[in-house]
Amino acid sequence: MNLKNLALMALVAVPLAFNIGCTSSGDEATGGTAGDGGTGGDGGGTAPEPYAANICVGAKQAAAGEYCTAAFEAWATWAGDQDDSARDAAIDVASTTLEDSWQGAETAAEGAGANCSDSAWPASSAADSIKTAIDAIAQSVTDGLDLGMSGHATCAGDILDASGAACDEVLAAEGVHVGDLYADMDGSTLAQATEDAVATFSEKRRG
Amino acid sequence: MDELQGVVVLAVTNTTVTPGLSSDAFTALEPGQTEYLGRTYDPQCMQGDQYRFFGRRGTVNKLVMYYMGGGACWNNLTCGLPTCSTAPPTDLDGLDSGFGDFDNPQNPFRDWHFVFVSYCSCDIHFGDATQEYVGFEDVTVEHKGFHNAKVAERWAREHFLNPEEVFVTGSSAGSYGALFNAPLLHDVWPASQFHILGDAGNGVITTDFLQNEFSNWNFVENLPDIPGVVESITEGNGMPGYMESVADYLPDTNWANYSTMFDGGSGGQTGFFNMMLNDGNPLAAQVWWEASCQFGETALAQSDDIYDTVPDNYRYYFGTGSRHTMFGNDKVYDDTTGNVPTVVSWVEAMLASGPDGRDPDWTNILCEDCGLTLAGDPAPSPLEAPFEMRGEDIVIVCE
Repeated sequence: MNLKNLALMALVAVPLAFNIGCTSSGDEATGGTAGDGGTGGDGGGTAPEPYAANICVGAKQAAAGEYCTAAFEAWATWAGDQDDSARDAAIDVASTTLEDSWQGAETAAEGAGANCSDSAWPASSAADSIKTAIDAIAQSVTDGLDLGMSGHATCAGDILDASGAACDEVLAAEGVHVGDLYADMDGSTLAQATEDAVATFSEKRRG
Repeated sequence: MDELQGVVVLAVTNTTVTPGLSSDAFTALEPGQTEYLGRTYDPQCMQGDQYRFFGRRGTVNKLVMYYMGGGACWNNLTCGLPTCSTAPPTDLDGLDSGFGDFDNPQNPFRDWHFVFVSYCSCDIHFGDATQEYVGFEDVTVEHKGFHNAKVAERWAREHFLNPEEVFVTGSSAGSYGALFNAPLLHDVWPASQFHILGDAGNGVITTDFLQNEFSNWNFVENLPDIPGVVESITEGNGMPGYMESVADYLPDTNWANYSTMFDGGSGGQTGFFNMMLNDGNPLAAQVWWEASCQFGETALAQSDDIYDTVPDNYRYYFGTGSRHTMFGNDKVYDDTTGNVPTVVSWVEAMLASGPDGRDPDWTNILCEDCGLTLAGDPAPSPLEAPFEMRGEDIVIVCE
């Protein structure tokens, strides 16, 4: 599996750019550019009920967003106390929650006559991959800071918390979008939610 | 730092595009009885054999739905021979040319997800009937193309959740599979940009065939609920009325037909048209050239009619000669005979078109000197009218 290719695939669909970091001056964060989400025909007919596999994947993306929040929060707390074991334990709990959520979504889809287990990684692999990416972000945020100084620790914690919130908001919006494609055929709702999340993140970062 | 973007990308892509599916080769799927949207489907081939289709993951989030061709049958004579493919491919190792060549950098679909909807039901992918064709030797036929297509649809939507673009196409009988399944697929992926291209399936048929033989497939049972669609089959003029209805109903989508002007051979469009002109006699396919001129004239007139009705999102392409289908032929990359643009450039212009505007290069293409055949094009041997020699070239000459 080529992760770089997979990641590139979504770059077009989710053109979202976050700048992260504690800065010494008031340099501007770069806001994201909202995706257009594609364009569908309007047809004018009655929208079909959302398909169970789509609902399931939407739930998985939302759960991934919650995992994101929890993992970033664990790192934010760590910025204050540097307690490795507490951080790892919190992330392990989040991972278990993600696996349970995904299993529940798959079971619900199966009960509704749809398969939702093939389209995604296994939950454990997903959690591992997201964790690796979040670890890298957290380390880059805290690199060069003296976390013994309360100002640095607070700054890093705030940015990590904001990162988790932004990740959660965007993934929740992605989940809503894929969960019912008919409800957002032109992608404008997803684009707006993404734009809002980026704006909120940028605001928090400046604050 | 753009790492946070990467987290989102990871979570989105790896929940929607089946990361466990091979991107190096097609995976064969052999479905059994399948529940889908409250209905039970029984995928199978015309003689009850195992159905099989194929899927391949790409590296961009765009999807080709390709409907395979392979003739058709509709009565004791045609199904008794039969005049169609009765078994799906065992693999797709031979899919390595034209738009099926995924190593060709000129191929606009080389990086797309690809679902290959095999064909073995003899009903242009839309049959929903078991028929007992009575004759000298009775023939029982499972026209279950619609079941096969729906099972492939279910697999596709559960493995590629939200492609940015969907290119629905098919060759010969598969052209109709593409054209008739496309509105149903649009319901599956309503947020995707749709492009629908029928390759060598223009719907040049007789009124008698439309009114009397079409029903053997129970075709109208599953037609999309779009104004004018059912009427186009039951009381209209067939494909032109259908195309006008769906293109008008889905104005953001792009629709197109490709054909050579004299698409021939016993299994080509002229072959089947000549059968219909001769009361369904399969032997008429062996003298297919007798219908070449009538086919070309009718196909062009139909396409002009469709374009006149839905000029914004319908186009046609007529190339020279008599070759049947182009999708798997390398001529799509270099043939400009008859002063036409290459098929690939025309398809790229189609892909660049959408509700925000149609690409200026996506125009109707009509060959000059359309009777000029290319090397390898079907021709009667020895030559018979309307085929004749012009210098060293074989040409088709119609009044």
